[in-house]
Amino acid sequence: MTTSVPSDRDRTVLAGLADVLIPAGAGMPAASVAGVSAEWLDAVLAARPDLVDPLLAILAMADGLDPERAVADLRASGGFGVLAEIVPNAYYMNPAVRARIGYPLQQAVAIDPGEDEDEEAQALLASVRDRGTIFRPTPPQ
Amino acid sequence: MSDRPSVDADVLIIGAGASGAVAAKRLGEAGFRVVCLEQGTWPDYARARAGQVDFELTAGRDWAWDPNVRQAPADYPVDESDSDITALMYNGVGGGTVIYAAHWQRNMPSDFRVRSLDGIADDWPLTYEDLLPYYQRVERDVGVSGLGGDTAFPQVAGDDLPMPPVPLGRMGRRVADAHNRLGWHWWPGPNAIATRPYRNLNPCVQRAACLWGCVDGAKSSFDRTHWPEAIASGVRLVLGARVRRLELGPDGLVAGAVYVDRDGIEHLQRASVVLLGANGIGTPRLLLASATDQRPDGLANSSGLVGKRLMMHPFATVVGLFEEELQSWQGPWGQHIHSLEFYETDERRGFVRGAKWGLQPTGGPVSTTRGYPWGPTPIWGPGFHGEVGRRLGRSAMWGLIAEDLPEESNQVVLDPTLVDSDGIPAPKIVYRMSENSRRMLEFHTARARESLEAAGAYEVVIAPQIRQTGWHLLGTAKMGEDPTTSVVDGWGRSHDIPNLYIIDGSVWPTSAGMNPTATIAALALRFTDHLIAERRNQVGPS
Repeated sequence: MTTSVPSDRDRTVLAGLADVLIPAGAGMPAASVAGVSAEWLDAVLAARPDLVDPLLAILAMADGLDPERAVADLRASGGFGVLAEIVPNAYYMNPAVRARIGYPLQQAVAIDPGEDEDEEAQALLASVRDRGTIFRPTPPQ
Repeated sequence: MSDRPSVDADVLIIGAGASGAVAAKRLGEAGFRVVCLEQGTWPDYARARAGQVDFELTAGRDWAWDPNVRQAPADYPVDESDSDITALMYNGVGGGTVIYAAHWQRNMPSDFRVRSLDGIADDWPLTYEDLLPYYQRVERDVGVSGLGGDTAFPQVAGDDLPMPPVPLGRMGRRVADAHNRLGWHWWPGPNAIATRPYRNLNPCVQRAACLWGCVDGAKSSFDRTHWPEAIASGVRLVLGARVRRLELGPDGLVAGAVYVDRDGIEHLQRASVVLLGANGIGTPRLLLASATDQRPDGLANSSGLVGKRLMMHPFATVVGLFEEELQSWQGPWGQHIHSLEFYETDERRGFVRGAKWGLQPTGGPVSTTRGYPWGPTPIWGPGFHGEVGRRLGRSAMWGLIAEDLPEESNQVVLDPTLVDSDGIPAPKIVYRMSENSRRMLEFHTARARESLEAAGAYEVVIAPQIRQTGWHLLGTAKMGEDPTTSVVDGWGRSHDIPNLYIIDGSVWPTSAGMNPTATIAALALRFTDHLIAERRNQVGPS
């Protein structure tokens, strides 16, 4: 991989495709505005260099086509999976996007030592115990 | 073949997964000279990315469950062209436990008596009560969290788990309350996940990443729970050692195994006794690949059942969407609660046997865009943000594990052309889901829908059936007392070759409907204890 891959033209094509998948709406930016074809694409490809060649292949296929038409073609040809992997991953790498949907990544949340003993859980279990056992025992030989 | 001196061993173990780890630790403690050959290496937890921005991006590559997708150096290809389900596995120290969800489920008593109770398939040559002490011992070695007294199991005084259960969480409370109103069973989920500091395990911090390499050292995978102690006791673990064949001596006993190291050099590892724990695909593959002119059908195969009766547990997921914020990208994954309400046979349902349910998280934002488990509902385009908003953090998922019955047409054979990177014939799996399994999944997904609706879900999605669900590889070297209808006896010993043992899930006569690691580990401990107790009567090669 070289620093020129993907090229500026590749990025332009990707931006069009990405906006078909993730347009602006509901207070959220479109994919291209969120950097899906720019810095976050670079981050995706740095983590998954195995996606570079498949991406370039579908961008070559889409080049010159209306993005809506290109996405439809990719769905039919089997190339859509690469797009569907790269675009949302790049989109949600953007911290501003994550902040808007309230997703702080998976946090380390320690288990409260008393949580399993709380009264509500025990009250819930009382009903189960009251219903008795539900298994079939080992039959006599 | 290398002329490097090969360390002779009392016991050779093939495969460092759950069963091999249990056997190695126990034999090491008992003072045996043990060598274990493992084709993979230690898991590289530096590639476990939970909590990082690229977690959902990299998980599917570095921790892919399907060896045909992962294609790591230790993996071998599996021909799945004639199978409804693909075989999932991890080839390395710890085996499948490195990527399992850590649902720690004992089998129920009826699972050992299927023929007696339901008139189909087979009984096991042991009972729940026979295995109970081994469950209890291995649960302490593994480090299992949960709550004793589950009403789906025999009530035995002192039958507690070593750590308290994972929290019910918001979703668990909702569904538990719903089941109480429905009069249905639930119980805090038993998990091989630490909730307290336990031996060399850290307490879980609920990143919902169990299936993609636990970065926090909280999941009880056997590379963590067993292998350090086994190695400390003197067990020699040989990595990158891909076994080409078992070597049979002129006395009809197995003399050892021929393996290829990562430099391509062949070695013969001799041993008095060989334990085979390469999983329900790898074990029959090796027995079949070890065929000789005298044994053209493979080793230990006078019954003709090696490779037959493959069971993989048809799997379904049912997802509920809730108005309430549940933070369902966090938590153990793992199960908050399980339900065995519909586990036992009720023939009025139109099928026999049943399924276990485990309530799980649903993952981060990228997961909400995927076809599984979300089905064909359009996500891309103008409705994208609204749909992600409905799914992310506001969903809960039942995973349903259905028991499949043993059928000889479902099997592992050697592929006639496909080979691994060392030229060893690859396995081909042939598996068709039965009508009993289809009816079972239809019934259970309908009940799971009712469960989530009762819990307040305003919409329920039943995931489409996909092939990548063969987590549990069972049944391909049946255990039984009759040598004409089974491969090994009730102690895992080959009927044909008395110094060859099979210690993994291959030996299961029926598949139960549970996550199998608890029973695989308990059985391996029982087999190993018996081998140790009978050491003076054990025959070995001359």
